[in-house]
Amino acid sequence: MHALANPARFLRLMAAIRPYAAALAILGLGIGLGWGLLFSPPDYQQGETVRIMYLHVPSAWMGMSTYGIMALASAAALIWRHPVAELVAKASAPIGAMFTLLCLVTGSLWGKPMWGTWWVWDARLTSMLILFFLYLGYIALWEAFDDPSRAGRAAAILALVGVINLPIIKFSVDWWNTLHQPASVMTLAGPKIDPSILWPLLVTALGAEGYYIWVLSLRVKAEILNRQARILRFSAATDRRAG
Amino acid sequence: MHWSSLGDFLAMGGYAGYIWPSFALALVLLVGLWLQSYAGMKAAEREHAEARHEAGRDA
Repeated sequence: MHALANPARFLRLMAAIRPYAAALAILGLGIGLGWGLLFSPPDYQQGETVRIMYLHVPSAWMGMSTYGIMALASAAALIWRHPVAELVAKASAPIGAMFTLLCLVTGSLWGKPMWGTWWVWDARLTSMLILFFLYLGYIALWEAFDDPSRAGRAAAILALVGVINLPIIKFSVDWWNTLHQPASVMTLAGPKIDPSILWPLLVTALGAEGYYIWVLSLRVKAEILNRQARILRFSAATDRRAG
Repeated sequence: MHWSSLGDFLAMGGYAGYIWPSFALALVLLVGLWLQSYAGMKAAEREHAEARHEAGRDA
């Protein structure tokens, strides 16, 4: 963790990882979604609409896990003033927000033919919508302050407070009555779905993880370079004044 | 292969109007965020090079 606090070293690590993350993203998403669309069987109850699951479920996992990473990185930034952790959290937010939005919209497009409604205000759907608003609030807080260190602290505190929403999302289908089906992959007894559906789902999820790392590496690089540029301009200005 | 013809595949068992918009949105969001992130990284590289130049620290 301390080794990664050096931005130059972190940039080198990211540059080394980036091609593998890109390959994982393109192959995983391409193969997983192609498999899901072309080869996997329809569901005996839901027919072909089950193919939306290959987008909906991985994007739900990504929306939640990215929030978890964002909160952990925010904690590291608050406690140890870890400069790179703060930028990892900031760079993660748009990616998590994008996946959460995809989860919400594909869920709606799946809900209409299967449940007969685009939306219900039940616990699972509402807590997922709150997750999306937490991401938007986090992004807005970064923009709301001129001083990046104050903005970072405020955003990190919001990220940590919002963590309470993650177990609510996960267990909402057990705690409350809902139209949403209960967990069928991440259960204590193991996955309850057929391998012909599980495999393309897991390959897609792996590709989505690769996509996260790929885009994160680009965004963190941008954050570090912009921050260094600001310092260079500031020191150049002070040098001129001193000289 | 699950499908018997291209028309069969495109029709998605009558659910084309729900399935294809889902996949189209996924494509737009995934490619769009990547493009925005890549452009942001390139802009940061230019800004960094310019700031180095102005600070007189060109390599």
